[in-house]
Amino acid sequence: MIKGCRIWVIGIILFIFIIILLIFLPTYTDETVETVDLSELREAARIYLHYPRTVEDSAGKKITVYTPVRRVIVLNTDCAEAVRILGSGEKIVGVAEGITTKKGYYFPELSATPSVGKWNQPDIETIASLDPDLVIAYVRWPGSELDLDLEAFKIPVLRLDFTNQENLEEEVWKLGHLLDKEGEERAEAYIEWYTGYEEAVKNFVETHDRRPKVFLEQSKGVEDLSEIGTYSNGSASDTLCTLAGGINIAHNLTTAYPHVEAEWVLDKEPDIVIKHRYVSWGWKNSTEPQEIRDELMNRPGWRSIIGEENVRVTSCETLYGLDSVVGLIQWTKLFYPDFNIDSEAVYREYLEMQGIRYPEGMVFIYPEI
Amino acid sequence: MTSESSIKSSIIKEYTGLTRKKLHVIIFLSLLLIFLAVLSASIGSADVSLKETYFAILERFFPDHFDVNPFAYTVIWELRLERVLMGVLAGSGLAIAGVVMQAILKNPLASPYTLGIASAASFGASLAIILGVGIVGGAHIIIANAFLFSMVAALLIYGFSLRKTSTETMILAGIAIMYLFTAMVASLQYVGEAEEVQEVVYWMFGSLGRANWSSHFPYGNIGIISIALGVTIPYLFLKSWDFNALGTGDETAKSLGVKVEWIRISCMFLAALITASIICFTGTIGFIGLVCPHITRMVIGSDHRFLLPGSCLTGAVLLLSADTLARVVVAPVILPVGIVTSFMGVPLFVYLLMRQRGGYW
Repeated sequence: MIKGCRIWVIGIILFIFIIILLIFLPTYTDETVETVDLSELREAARIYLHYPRTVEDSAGKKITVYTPVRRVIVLNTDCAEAVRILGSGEKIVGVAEGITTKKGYYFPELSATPSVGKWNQPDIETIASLDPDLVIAYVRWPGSELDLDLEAFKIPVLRLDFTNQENLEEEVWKLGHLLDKEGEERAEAYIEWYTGYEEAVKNFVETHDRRPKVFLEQSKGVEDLSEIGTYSNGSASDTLCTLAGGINIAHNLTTAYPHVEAEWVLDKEPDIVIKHRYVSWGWKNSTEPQEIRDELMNRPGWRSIIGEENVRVTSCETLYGLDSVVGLIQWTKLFYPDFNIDSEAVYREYLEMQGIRYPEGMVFIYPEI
Repeated sequence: MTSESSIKSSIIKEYTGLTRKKLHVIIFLSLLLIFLAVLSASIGSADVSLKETYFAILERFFPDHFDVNPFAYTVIWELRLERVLMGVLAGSGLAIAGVVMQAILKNPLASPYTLGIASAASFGASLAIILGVGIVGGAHIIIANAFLFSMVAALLIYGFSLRKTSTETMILAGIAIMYLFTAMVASLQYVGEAEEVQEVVYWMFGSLGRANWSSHFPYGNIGIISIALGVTIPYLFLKSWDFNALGTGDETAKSLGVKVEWIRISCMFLAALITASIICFTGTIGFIGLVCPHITRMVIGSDHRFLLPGSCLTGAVLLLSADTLARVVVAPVILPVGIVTSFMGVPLFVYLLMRQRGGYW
């Protein structure tokens, strides 16, 4: 009986509390009178003339910005590099974690920029808290739930890869157009620079009939000689090799990243072997790449059949993305020693556009070409 | 006569006491779940205060009396509450699927994971992620593939059920299916790019981040799971006496009027359907279905009238608390919920296991 009464009393108190809450809680109103000065009017007129700007990203989605993009979040290093080369580096207000940790040497100015989590699984709340005008991500990663979640905050997600040579120029132009007038101009300058070298390589390669046979070995170490990772049709390294005038011996294998036996490589008798290695930019000296090359040379038959002088170890830094033209020139020079463009000079030009200094003395390919 | 009635009354008293204890556990779990849901909605990397959280929730129902900034409102309603609801639904569903599978197969190792349903879903997702092959294209390819292959695994187990084989054979067949699909996933990973393989691994860890609802039918993936659970769970609750009878042996259950074969086939199908409808959206969260039923059984016993709702609540509590922890422990990096669930659940499970004197199964 007492227990029953107690429940009734609690119920009545709660009811009264809710009623009081509903009656006395004020409804917030936001009544402020806004005044507009001349500079704001000028800015509004400028925006009216040049906006909205719309592009179709590489995922096939139309992205529109209605005002100048002032706050950008980049979810991978390729996007960060693109934003910086287009003169909008200072607009980056949030980055994926790896940009400041794994590639901090390349983006020192972003060291204090807030992290928004992993590149393929960012934290939506942190992104929304940073109030960006634009989020830039790869076409496939993170998944479409990113777009869906950020749509609620009216934050557009621009999906560009910057890793595929076939649409690299188009992607750079689209980003530049969306960023601002300066972005457009810089995009045009970059495309001119890039296509200039690309054309030079193309014209040079066309004059040569004999193409060297090349074996491209993946970065990871090889424990088992029947499991050597390589690159085939559909991979960026295969495309780079073809553009540089080489014939990738694994080009026709079934998947983009197949594994082959050491015996198969020897049977194909490649003229050149390029061992890839993911390192922080490059090597400070030649000790480590030399050890990597020695490991390849110690494989049964490799020294005698392929020859030590035909094996190179390369950093992956300049093979993919916006600076891939450096890798293209490097490989063309490797395949055709009479090609007379210096890859180091080209890389210096590129880093100048990025606003960072060339790392003097750093080894990017061993032995050097 | 007097002593007989006093024994009878003491048995009734003891039974009532036990029942009350079980009810108390269920009430406690319900309150804990409500508390966790509110806590989870108020914690996150966005700067939303506790007051704003409550006001944002209340604004939906009393828009004339509560008004918070649109950012806080969107964070609460579009991000956090979606995750909370998905955690509750997925935790409940996976746990009840585990209880049902363990009951009808009379085996403590039965779960959606050990019977190959989760592995089949992983294969479907891998097929979509790595090869881009699926029955539907576009954004739903992974979901459709995961669901389809889960049901393929369920149908294979159903096929074994039709042959009236023993429960041991069904479990062994389930394990064989699991190995088959695991091998198929491995073969896809072998040919996939590093990023694709990483995406598969992430999918297999499980995540509540894909939760969404919409105002149109079928109301987002939260709506789909709610419909699946709303249709299946009442039927399973109705069959709780039958599950109790099955625990005493097939012959006894038959003598009590239980249609053993029908219960086994229909409930296995429903458990598979629940699992498939959840993991196609969340990815495989293997631990809940296997261990939550055991944790609950250790606390409130094997009476399925209490074990079914109890496991639902335990699953929801465990998954929701794991997800909350996963979001805040190293924010803004979100840890995979499947990993955190295991880290949290295993110590609890081992502790309860060690406390048991003799067998509980």
